[in-house]
Amino acid sequence: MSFMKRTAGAVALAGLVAAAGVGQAGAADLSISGSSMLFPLEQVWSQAYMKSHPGTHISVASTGSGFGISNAANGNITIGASDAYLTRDLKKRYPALVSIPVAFEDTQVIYNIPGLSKGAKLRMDGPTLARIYMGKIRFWDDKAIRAINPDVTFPHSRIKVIHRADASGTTFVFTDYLAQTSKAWSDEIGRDLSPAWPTGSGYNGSDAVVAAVLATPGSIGYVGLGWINEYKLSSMALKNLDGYYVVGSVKTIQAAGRAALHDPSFPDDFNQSMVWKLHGKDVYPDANFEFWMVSTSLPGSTMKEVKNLIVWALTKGQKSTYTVKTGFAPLPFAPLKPRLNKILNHLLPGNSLDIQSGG
Amino acid sequence: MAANDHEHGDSLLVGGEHRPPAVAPLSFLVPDPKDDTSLEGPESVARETEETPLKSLRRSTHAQVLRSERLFHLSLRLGGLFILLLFATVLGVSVVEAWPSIEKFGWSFLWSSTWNPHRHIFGAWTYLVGTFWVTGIALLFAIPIAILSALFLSDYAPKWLVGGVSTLMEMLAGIPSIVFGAFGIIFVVPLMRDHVEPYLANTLGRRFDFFAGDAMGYGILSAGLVVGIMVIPLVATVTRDSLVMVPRETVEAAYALGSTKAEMVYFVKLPAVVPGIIGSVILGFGRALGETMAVLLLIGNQASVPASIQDVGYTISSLLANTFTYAVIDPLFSAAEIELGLILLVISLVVNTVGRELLLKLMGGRLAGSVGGG
Repeated sequence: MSFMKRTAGAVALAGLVAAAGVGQAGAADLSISGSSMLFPLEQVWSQAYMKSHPGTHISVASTGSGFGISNAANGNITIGASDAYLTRDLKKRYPALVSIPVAFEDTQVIYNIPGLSKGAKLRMDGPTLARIYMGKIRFWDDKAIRAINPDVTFPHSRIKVIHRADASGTTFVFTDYLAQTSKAWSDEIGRDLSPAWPTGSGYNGSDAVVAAVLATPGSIGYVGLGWINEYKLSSMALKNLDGYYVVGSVKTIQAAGRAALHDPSFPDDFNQSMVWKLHGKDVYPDANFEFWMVSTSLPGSTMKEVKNLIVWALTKGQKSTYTVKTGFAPLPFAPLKPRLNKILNHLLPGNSLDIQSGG
Repeated sequence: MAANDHEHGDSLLVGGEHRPPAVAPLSFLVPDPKDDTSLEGPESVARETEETPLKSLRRSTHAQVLRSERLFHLSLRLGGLFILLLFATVLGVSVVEAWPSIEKFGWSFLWSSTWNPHRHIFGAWTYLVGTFWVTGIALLFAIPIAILSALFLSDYAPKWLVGGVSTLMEMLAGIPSIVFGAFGIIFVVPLMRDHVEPYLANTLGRRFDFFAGDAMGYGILSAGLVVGIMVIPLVATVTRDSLVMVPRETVEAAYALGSTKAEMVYFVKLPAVVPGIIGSVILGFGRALGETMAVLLLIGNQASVPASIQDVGYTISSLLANTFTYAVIDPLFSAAEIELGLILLVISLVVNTVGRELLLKLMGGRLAGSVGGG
């Protein structure tokens, strides 16, 4: 065990040094590492924050959500970035971690179907999508797909399932939707950053998934909002809890986020999926919070810096020039405030902070 | 005399420099009283002046020489020891880190095909099969082409072509694998998807399921071919080097017995370089087995046992590259991945050892270990 930890530490250090090239750990040195999805946003944030707060140095690295979680827990990095919330298993393994939502993201289903009419808008529901990803629906003109899309004519071509090969938060959010809507998926595969895919082919990174879908006729894949915007991809409308088919966009993701924040049953430590369970006409059913994981055992001075950074990120950092431009939807601050207050002043140790003032 | 002036010189430098004065200008015109003939003069001078500094060196620094000799030996031994230590460390750390998985799954890890991190069940079979498929396709593709090109370069190519092509071949072996991976995505995958795979499915695929499938481009075929491209220069260079070293006498004897060029190459040269070819194939095997980036980009990374050459698969190295950073959050998961790495290590050790033994046998001990370290 101790061997394991030491090796993980060495890997973490090597990763940090390689990615950021920063060695010394002064009082105002913060390191953020983890989710590759959050990385672009963290980059613009750290640039802007360092400009307005001279004396604070932030190094950012993209190393994967799993790395971010485990290394934030054992203190190798200050903040671990993750696309996935802390599941009960992870919470048990890393009891000191507190998760703070910093932005909205989603996972959308993209496709490449030859011979489909240009303006066709595809709809999809969870159970059918799960059967496609389990290899049980093998052709595009399967009657389950036609039943959801009565006005679309599908070609009789094989469905080529495309998924992520690396451990990914996008995969977590995607399989979360499948697990919550399909009992078969939940029983056999479950939600995970790197599940045991029953069929298809895997690619390393969202960029590779986009490339593979564009290059493979008959394919279906999934990526986040940022990739949809960047490549002008068309995605499927997914069926939400109230039966509406909703296409992912900044607006529908924010609708989902608002619904979650206004839901009193939603936990204050945010350790619950916001996928699927929310009611509303505009609610996109596969949206998620992006998280920063902070350990309660950080030294006092660092903790103060971290709290300042969090407040800044959740106020000034939510400007659409930062968030929407890098593929995220901004968090609405008003409904978030009471919960944020609890996180900063109760869950995390240290001096209490007046979050009204912002950064 | 001139020679005596320099006898006091106590450094080698002076001894070496003083040659012209030793044979003093025009000294041969004046017969030396000690010398019988004028010819003997310079010879004796040279002997005396070369011996003196050497003698003094040996006398004065005998202990120093011994000490530096010992130091040199020690550093050599440390170097050797370091290699041993390094190997032991890699092996030891791997075994310790893999232990939870070894303990839990035992030998069945090798042939169990379930790999489910979510349920904590791990088995290597799918990844082993994928690894061997890619390696097999790569070697099947690379070896004939490499041997043919080596023969062409050593015996048939015009002289002006040999240098250029040989250099290019050696440079090809040094190109980073990610470049080959990118080449695979932009060239090999579309080629396979649009032409080769549909053709295979319509011809051989009608008879044998092994060649059928939906053309996808990504899969074991593309990955194997691109790794094959990376192996070709390795095998070709070593084979060409051994072909060039076949003794000229042997070649000329074959011609003298009336063989044509083709007969000479086929019956004389090729059999002579079989050990070299085997050695290079072992090198190529090691390269193909461990190739990570190019395979990761092309194989389709799906944990299933390929039933057709058009199917996707997964190799051990690409699985580790894809998921190891995530596996560290779960001790059993990471143990299973390290055990996979350990298996890779053992396979390449076994192949190298067997290859070496085979080489020794074929060469009758002549080529002890000079080829085949992969």
